[in-house]
Amino acid sequence: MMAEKPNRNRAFYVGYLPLPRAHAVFLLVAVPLSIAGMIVGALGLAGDQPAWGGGVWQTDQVNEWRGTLRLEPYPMLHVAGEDGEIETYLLVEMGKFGTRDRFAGADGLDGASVKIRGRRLHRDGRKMIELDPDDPKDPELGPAVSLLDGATPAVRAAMSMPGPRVTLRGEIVDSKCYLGAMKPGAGRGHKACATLCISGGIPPMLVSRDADGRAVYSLLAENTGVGLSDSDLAVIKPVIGEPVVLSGRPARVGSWRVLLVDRLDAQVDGASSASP
Amino acid sequence: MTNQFVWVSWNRHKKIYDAVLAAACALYLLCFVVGSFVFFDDRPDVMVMLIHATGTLAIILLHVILCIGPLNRLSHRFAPLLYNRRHLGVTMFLVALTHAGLVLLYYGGFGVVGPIHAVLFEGRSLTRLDAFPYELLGFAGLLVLFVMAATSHDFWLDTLSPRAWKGIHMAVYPAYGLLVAHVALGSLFDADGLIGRVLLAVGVAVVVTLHLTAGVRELICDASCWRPMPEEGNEKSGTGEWIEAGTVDDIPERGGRVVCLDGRERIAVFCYDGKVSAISNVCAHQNGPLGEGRIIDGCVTCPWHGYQYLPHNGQSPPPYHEKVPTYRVRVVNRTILLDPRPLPPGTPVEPAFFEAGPDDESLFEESGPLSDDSGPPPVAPHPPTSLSEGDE
Repeated sequence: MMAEKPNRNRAFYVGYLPLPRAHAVFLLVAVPLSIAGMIVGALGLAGDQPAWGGGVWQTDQVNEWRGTLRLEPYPMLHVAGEDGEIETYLLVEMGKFGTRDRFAGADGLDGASVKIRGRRLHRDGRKMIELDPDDPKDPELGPAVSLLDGATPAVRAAMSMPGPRVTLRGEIVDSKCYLGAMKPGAGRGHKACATLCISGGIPPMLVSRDADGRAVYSLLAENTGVGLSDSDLAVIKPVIGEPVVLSGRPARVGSWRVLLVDRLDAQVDGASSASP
Repeated sequence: MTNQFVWVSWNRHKKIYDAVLAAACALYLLCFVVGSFVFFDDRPDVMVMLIHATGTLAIILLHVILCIGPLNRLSHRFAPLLYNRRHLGVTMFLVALTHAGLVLLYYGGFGVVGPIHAVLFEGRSLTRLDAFPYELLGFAGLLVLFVMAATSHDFWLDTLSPRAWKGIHMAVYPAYGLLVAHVALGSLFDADGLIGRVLLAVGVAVVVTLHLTAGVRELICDASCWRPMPEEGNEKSGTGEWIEAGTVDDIPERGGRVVCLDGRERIAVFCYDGKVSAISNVCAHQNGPLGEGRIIDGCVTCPWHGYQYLPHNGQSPPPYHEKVPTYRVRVVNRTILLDPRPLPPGTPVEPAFFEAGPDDESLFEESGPLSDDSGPPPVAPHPPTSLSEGDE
């Protein structure tokens, strides 16, 4: 008696032949399900991103400001507000560069009255101007920074007397990105960019939290009131973008708070981090 | 199957495959963008959003790619996904490349040092895990993916040999390890990102489980079709070199069976039209399992990409030139006897004849009309491809 052949009666798929019905039915179920899964995944992962933060960078709006230029601890412009309050703008260049090179070697600029053209960045009341590039093709526009005549009254905003020593937990960020040039301008993903910005002269800033959980922004400076030196920056570079503990004496320059760091011993702190 | 160079030998399945793939990727990116605007009060940074969107899409596609192989081993329902997997791989590489390019441009650009130096080395430390340059892992993984994408075309398969090509493309596993570490280290230390971390853990678990399951099943299959090699003395005497490979009734008509030998390649035995032939189980294209294939239009057809071989000589039908080793077979009282010594690839071997039974009929449902010829056809009616970008 002849034995029966095994009946492995299943469809066999070959890419250049018509699709077997069993495979077609399977694909009609599997492919839409997979795409639905991708949609759910996309929405879930989109919502899983870190908060963008409230920084604003007005890239489409070039403005002019008149005020008093100060070069320490970092180049900044003090502007007299309508209500008598001083508004202080940090000054940075386009890209990931500070303005120290622009003002280096120019005598008499510190404390001078100037007109500045650029784009505004701001976050939680902290302000910055990204200087417009000097455009030689447009002589009418003039340079981004121009001296005003001597009759213009100076805005007085000397650095206040530093307070008692404090220890702050937070994250060292580059002020430009954090104020809105890049969002989120903090955290692990932004570490390389923040390091690059600070290396290029963007003022470093410690973002910590007060007792009520509100963000406290402190520009980092040496205890003599000048900006961090290259050797100081080399110390903080490895911990930029990470939770750290920093000690120093708080002071004010215009509307900015400054932390005068008397001993740069930035320590990695696993217990705290700046939220964007 | 190779005879001349073309970039892509398109067919309907490939076009549909690529269209669905492109639509799925576009839909993913669109939903990610919409979600980024809808789920947050603050306006997102478009560049950072695109970095996140392309990065997550690339790692998802990589998981899909790695799952297709073992899924296809577990169920042939997944064969259509395997068929054009190479396009999926190249797409994944391009998405990952976009992600890397945006990172270099946005995070590493416009500064005092070059983008690559800025992203890979600025402020990084190899001695602290939380300052470890995880971008370096992604960069290394991307380089591996680049090599794979650049050599994915069948031109390289033909030039390098299937063995070397397969070796190169097995590097997807170290690349996977690098990229999983890249994603894990990049997100684990951020305050947010719970969903991403959970999905990554689930994805890794699925990939590992599927590979282990498919591997165990492969071992079980090998054990079930294992045949001991003849003793050396018998082989020398010329009396014991034949081994039993089951009966013709164990093999479906125009189907195959794999026989696994001690320390040797597996052998694919086929029954068709009252005849039995045996060839190597390893396809000359990408080492696909020919014994799991079928005889279509008189040719053994590989289940992976449809490469075809004439069962009596292991040669692809003209004008193609792939060859696989053949084996001598005999049928005694419906028992298949097999000489386990492989003959050089493409060596003609007279099929063994047996009396076909009433159940010996085609098993194919809808794979197109089958020729009913008793001898090998001169040319396969459905030449799958020329020397072109491959099907997987």
